[in-house]
Amino acid sequence: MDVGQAVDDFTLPDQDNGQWRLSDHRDRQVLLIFHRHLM
Amino acid sequence: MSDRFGKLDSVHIAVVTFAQAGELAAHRAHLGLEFPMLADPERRIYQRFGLGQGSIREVWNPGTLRLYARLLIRGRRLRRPRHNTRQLGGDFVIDTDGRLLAAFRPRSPDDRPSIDDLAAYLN
Repeated sequence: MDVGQAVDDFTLPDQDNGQWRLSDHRDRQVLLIFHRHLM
Repeated sequence: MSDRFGKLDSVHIAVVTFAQAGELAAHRAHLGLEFPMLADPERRIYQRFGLGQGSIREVWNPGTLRLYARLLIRGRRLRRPRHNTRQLGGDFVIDTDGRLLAAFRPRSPDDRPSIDDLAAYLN
């Protein structure tokens, strides 16, 4: 995926057993931080 | 609060992990995060964003070891890794029109964009 391309929508479970969907957050920019190590 | 941190308040921030969904609450508390934490244990979204695995040499480089040393000095309790430590992370800004505005794909865990790097792309 390159800069400028449309990001396909996705849904992932969150820490509260909810569902977080990208397209629900279009009112503002979104910063996605992909975690590295789990230590 | 400086403008650069203020910009972070004006965006939606979510942390994607490759933990199982049932581990998220404890993991979020361990890291002291306030942002939503999401589970992608099959790393489907990681792959979609082009995030692969680094080599052992890339991941466990001196910079990574210094990073963990600093965390220990600050009082962070490190846990034995239960997941793939070679998975690389990344940082992405998505604009309100749904397009990818910025992509940071580091080659090692210690190679991360600064707040200033990220703030340059935020409204």
